[in-house]
Amino acid sequence: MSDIFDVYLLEAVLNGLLLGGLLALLSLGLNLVFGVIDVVWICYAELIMCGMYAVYYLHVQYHWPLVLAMLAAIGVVAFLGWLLHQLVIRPVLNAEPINQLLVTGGVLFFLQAAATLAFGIEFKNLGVTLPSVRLGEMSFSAARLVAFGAALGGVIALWIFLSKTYLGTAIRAISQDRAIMPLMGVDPGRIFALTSALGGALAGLAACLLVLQYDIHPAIGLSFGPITFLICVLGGLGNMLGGFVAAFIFAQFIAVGGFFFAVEWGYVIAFIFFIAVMFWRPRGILGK
Amino acid sequence: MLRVAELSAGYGGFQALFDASLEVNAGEAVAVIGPNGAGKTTLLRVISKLISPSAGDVTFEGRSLAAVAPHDVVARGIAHVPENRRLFPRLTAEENLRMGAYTSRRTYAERLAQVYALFPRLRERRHQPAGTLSGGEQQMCAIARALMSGPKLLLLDEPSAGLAPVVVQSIFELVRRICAEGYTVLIVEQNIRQVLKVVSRAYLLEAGRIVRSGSADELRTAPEIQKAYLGL
Amino acid sequence: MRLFAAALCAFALAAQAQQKEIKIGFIYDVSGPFAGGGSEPAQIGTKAAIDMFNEKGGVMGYKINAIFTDAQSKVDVAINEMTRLVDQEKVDIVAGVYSSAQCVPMVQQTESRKKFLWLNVCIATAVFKDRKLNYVFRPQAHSDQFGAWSCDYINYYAKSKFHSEPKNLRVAIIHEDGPYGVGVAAGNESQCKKHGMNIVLKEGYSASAPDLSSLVTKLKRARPDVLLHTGYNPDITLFLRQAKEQGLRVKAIIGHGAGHSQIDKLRQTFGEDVNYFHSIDPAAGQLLDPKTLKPGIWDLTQEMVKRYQAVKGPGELPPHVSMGFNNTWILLNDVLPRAIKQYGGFDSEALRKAALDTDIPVGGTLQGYGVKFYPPGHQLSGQNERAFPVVMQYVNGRARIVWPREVQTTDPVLPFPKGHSFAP
Repeated sequence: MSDIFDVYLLEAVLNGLLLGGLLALLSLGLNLVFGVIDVVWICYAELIMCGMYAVYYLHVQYHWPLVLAMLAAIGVVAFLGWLLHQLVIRPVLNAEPINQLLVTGGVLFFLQAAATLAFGIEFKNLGVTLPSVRLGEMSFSAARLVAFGAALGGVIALWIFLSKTYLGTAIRAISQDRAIMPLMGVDPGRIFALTSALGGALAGLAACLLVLQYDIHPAIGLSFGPITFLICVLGGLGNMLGGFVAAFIFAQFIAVGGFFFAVEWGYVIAFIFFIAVMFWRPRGILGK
Repeated sequence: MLRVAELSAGYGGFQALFDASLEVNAGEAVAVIGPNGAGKTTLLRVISKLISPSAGDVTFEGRSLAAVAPHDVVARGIAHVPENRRLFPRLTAEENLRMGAYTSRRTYAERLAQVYALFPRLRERRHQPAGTLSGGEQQMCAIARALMSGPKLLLLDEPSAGLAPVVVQSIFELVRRICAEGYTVLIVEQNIRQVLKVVSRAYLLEAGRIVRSGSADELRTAPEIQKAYLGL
Repeated sequence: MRLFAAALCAFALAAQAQQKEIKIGFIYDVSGPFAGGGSEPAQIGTKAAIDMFNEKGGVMGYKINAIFTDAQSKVDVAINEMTRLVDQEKVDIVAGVYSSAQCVPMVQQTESRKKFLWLNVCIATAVFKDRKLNYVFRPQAHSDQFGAWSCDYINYYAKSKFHSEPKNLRVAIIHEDGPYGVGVAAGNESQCKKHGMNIVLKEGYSASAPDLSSLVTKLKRARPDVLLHTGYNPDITLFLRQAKEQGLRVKAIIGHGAGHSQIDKLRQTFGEDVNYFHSIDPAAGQLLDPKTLKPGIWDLTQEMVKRYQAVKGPGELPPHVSMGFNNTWILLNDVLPRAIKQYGGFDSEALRKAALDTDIPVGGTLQGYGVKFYPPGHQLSGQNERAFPVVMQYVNGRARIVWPREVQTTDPVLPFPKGHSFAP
């Protein structure tokens, strides 16, 4: 085997890139919500779980076409995001951050338990398998490619929305000075509710892509929640570009680290990198 | 146009304003002057509904603002340039102006042209984050942002505060021009000497109470004001 | 008046009879990833066994009061629940426990309280090895046996099926990194080495890892003939999916219980792709040949199947149902009566003595194995020395026992036939 060009290393790097896309998409909604509302949705991955169940039930049980089921799921999770804000976040908007963490943490356990009661602990899956894309010796998941594309598309769409529209500008403005928003004629409550719905919709979009690759079960959030949160912190909480960059760095550590050492070490190296960054730049790579 | 009747307000247990009454007529420029901590900022904050009064009422164009939501005040025609300017530091100057036009989007392009005509400096700086502008430019941007909503009444809170003396001159020059453009202005200032050159009438607010009112000339020549505030 | 007194007396007796009960606290996981990995089926099997005893009046006149708690697939929760069962519920026996990760710390705690612990499901050898336990017993096979079994199996068929000397077989071992996976993988490694096989990769991963693509890439590079895999459910699905997407090719895949034994679920996800997969587990009772069992045992098996399907509907029973059912049955049918009769009750001391006296021959339990526990002083004291697992192969969702030869019900299909998704 050639030491200079290793096709398997290339496969690991490219798979890392695809994983990065997936993680970037995951971090998008969490970052948006934190950036605007200044509250961390610890239960973000559990919203994604709800979205995955929505796709599953609409498509498998009620035989909706997959694309329609996915669109509906995005709507469902957007509604859940809105509901989360109205029922849970709004009363603690001005509370200590630790209390905000505790309530959203409570929602995490609530959603897990509710999903166990409502859907059972059985693993569900769509039974849809996308073909893989072959490149000589290398082979890649089509579902990951789609997720990668959706992450890029999502970031670009979000960027255009945030920089070109009044509403988007208001969403950015409110994170910089909440108190004077009424002087601009903006109702902060409405912006928060809207941002929550948008964050929910992004969680829903992530759900649509995860459901193509992962089995659905009430504890699926545990696989993605912590890593999503780490990536957001790594990139600078609330900084969407930072989260995007951090996702790709993190994924490369996991993929290439896992390739050169044991898979476990890939994660360990990624976490060591995370801790090192926290010492070097406590507010994240692109944090201010 | 604006009538403030026996207004009281405060923060928690602290009362900052006692039975204050004043009036601003259309086309007028009126100042509320007084020392630091007299309740001037509170007065403006009650008018634009950032805080609720404990007693009294504010009417604008004959209608009470009591039942109006804070974010609907702008649409009624009142724009407020808050104390310390309060620009959105990471938005560009032009994005700040766009936020000012949030409730009147259709006239955005037209107003933007007017505002840039009034503040050519802002046009040069329009793609710069507002946080990187100089103090004077930031004040211009804050005033311009308020004008973007096409207000009938402009509330200005200490436009000269924290600025270098040379810049203070040019800001008051700007305020004078705005008044000359026909805007109705209610301005709150500590820099009494300067502000009385710009407005036609003024109220003196001390420890939360209106203690005197009159034309700018009257107040400028009143001995107690000359003694206490103008250092004469 | 006399009649009234008699009635009162009878009433009092009845009340006393009702109070005669044995409290057993069962710890399983009905939430979290272990639930779907077999913990819930084990609980259903356990319940069925208890119901059958209670319907006939309990054990020696004692009603079995079973308290089921949910360990939520978490180690700390399992330990807390155990403490609660012992200290607050004052149970006489603690039993159940699915995950080896929970068993390892739990035995320490029960042992220091001298509480009798009867393990139904967890398989790590480390639970017993060199721990000198006195009050912990396990009728179940242990993980070193699992790991060795797969190597023995491929060693036996190397020439006839793989047309290769064992030393030329390339073997890859991958496993989740808890005590269960690590234990099985260690057994794999030492036994396969003993047969002289070429181990080209051995690696662990976290069961909740969101991505295993680099593991698949490394496997592709290592080009194993046989893949030995130990994992729970979400990780097995993720691994197989990524393996398929990335085009991994091997001649055989052998799983070691847990997720690999949940064939219905694997088929839902992978359909034909999981045909000819293997799993090693204590035998699912319903798969055994009734002829190899003692009289009356097969009726139990059929009753268990009936009761499980009444809860879960038709479909293949995972072996965990048998583990929950059979091992509870051994406790209630053999150990408990002896403790009461010969050792005067069911405190830990009596139960321990009764357990050490256990002597059930091979074929005497629903899972085929016999029961005799290693005595104190043995490095595995408390472990059943007569237990053994079996290698099962799945064809179209049906499991067949292919190893050991003594209980084999059919000849295995090795390697993957042409056209199979994982076939080279």
